Amino acid sequence: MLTATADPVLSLSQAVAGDQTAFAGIVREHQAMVYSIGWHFLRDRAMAEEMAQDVFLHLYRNLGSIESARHLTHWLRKVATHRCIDQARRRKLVRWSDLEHVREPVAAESGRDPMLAGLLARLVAGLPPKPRMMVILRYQEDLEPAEIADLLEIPLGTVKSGLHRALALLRSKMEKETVQ
Amino acid sequence: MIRISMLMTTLALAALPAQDLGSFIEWDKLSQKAAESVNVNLEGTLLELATRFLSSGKNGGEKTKKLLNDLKGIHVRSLKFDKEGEYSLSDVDKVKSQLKGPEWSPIVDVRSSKGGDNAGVYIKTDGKQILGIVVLAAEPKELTLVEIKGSIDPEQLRELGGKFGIPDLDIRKKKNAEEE
Amino acid sequence: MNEFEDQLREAMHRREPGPGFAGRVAAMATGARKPVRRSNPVWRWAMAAAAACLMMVTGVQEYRRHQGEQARRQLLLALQITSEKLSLVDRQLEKVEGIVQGIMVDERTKQ
Repeated sequence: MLTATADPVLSLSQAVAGDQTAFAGIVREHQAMVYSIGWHFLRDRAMAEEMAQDVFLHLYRNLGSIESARHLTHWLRKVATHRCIDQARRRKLVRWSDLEHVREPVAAESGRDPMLAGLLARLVAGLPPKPRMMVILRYQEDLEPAEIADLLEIPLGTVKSGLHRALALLRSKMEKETVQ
Repeated sequence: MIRISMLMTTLALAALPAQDLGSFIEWDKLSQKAAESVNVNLEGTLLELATRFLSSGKNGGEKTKKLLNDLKGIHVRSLKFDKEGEYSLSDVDKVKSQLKGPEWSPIVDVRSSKGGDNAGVYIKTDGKQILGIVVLAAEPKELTLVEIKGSIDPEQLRELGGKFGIPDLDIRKKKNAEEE
Repeated sequence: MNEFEDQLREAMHRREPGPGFAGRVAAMATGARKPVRRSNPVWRWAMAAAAACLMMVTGVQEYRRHQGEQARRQLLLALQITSEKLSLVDRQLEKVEGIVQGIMVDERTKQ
């Protein structure tokens, strides 16, 4: 049995050949990205792991179509993103925040407080599915709005306005929470 | 001319007193000699359940439903014997003696002098209202005591005839139909 | 880039799944293991509780239906017997009326 190597292209070809260790190496390299998209979106460890598991199993069946390491990252992000949004559509249990009544964000400064990270993550999870995913892709994956638009298959303008509204809502909610 | 069917039209049954007429006959002892024994005691929740199930069927018209809703209790003891003389007429007389009080009015009390059928219909009133009805039938091979409680409209009681497998009570109606 | 976005970036940092995730998934992918579904114990308990509740409700409904059906049969029997005995009384009365009418006819013919 071959072992996984640091060369992603070689790992891919080994995994395609059925090398379990090579595939495990690919999973290990990308698991934080895929799992975190699920975790921040679903806020449920078990569901996030299950989603990530399904994404990688789907990858294994489609390894032949992956052309490069970059393509692999893009493919995993896209599949994970759409799985999460599909899951949210199926659940439809959460009352999303109403973005329509939120003004465009204005410059506002607030003191940096690492303790607020947990609160902020929870507030992100309360956003409607699409804006939530926009925020995750923007701030977890550090993607540009154009890349987000490509992944979500929506117009760039929609992403920009969605991100602005989401930020305004998060900011106002966080202010309320911290005041209380 | 006295006719049960006519008399029944004047009946409006209310609750019978708590006195158990059946206790004047040793039913359990007699049932050991009987070929067939019936003991029905329906009151309260069980009666409500029964009437609900009965009136929900295809025969459950509005009149029938009202009759069944007004029924507050029904107690039937009936024994069928293979041969005559298995029960004592003195037992029947004990019951009849209880039905001779001022609150009781015998509507019909028929006694055959040659050992035939003895049957009676009695109503209990408080002077203003009819409180209940008792049917006592002592046939050579059969002994039956029926106590009905509830403010039943007798017209509706007659409506039961021909429904749920109950024979049509109005004999005169049948007779007229035959004559026509 | 403002401080709020920095905070957001910090809040959205990547996390690792549970230990052994990669090995498990790779084993599943190559057919060595079956995929794990809904591993959340809370979910399993909820499913078990829901199933138990469903069974209980079905059981209670079935019992009530059986009880109601029995009561219905008893009521029918009681009404049938009542009806038969009232008919018996009616028949007896007809006989008596016939006898009385016969006596009256005899009296008239004698007169």
